[in-house]
Amino acid sequence: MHAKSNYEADNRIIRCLHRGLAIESRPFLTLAQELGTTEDELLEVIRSLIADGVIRRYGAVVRHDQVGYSSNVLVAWKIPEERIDEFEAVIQDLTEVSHGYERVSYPEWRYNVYTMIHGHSKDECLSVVERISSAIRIKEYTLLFTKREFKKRKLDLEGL
Amino acid sequence: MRTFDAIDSRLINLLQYEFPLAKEPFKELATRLDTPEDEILAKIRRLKAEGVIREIGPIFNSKMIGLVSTLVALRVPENAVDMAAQIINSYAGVTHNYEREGEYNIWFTLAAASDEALASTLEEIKGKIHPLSSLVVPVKRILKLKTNFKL
Repeated sequence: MHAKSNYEADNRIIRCLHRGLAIESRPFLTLAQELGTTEDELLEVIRSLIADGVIRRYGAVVRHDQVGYSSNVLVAWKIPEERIDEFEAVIQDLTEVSHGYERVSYPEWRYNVYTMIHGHSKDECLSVVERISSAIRIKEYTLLFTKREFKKRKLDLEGL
Repeated sequence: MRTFDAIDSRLINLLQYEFPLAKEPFKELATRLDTPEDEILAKIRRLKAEGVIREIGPIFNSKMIGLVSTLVALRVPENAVDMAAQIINSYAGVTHNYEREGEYNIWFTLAAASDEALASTLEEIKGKIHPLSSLVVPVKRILKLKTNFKL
């Protein structure tokens, strides 16, 4: 196996890893056998995929609502282009902010930056929004609270 | 809100952020938590069964595995939301789909293997739902990506 070859060509490895780990003593053995390699080699591949940024993190995905982070809010912000770096700096140290993206905007929807904020309560989320807003001195934002979750799951690679 | 004992809390944190890339990862965790491996395995199986842990595995950078994706917002009449949600949910490339407050009431993420596939899937979805209006808002730049669900 080539740890640093073209990853799109390493589709088989990606798909195999994507299925997740069995909860058993030697979980990598099953995957390695399926790929026709050894545990050591497979672990080396995973390490290099992490080093190259192909894998952002290897570990458990938890349902945040089950571990105390019962409230969250998606916030869309109108941030002037030249101040996005400043906004980026503001959210870096706020552990309640899990995701921050600059996204495409339109004349009818000028919001160009999105943050996902998690908290133990709605008030906690709102106070984080307020903290960001005063730190960046921008009040133009909209709170996109969840009314219903219809789907949240990992990508179905086999179905694409 | 449910509570976890001290071992469970530490276990959940380690599983998220310090998962050992080793032949016997759960044995290493067992050593760190001074708990027998069998017990650790049983705890994790229980946490999975209860839905606390969805899964243990890699979180891929989707772009680096050859995928393209976008966030999409639709404005749909109140009485059409359920049907729209069902249609959107049926697509394999959809990982998140929510009804939200605000003028655009449905927000979902869509991934595909190419720009062309993404565009055609999007057209297909819109063709089935006929939203009053829609926004396609792909990422221009990631400012932060760091989940912190520590217990």
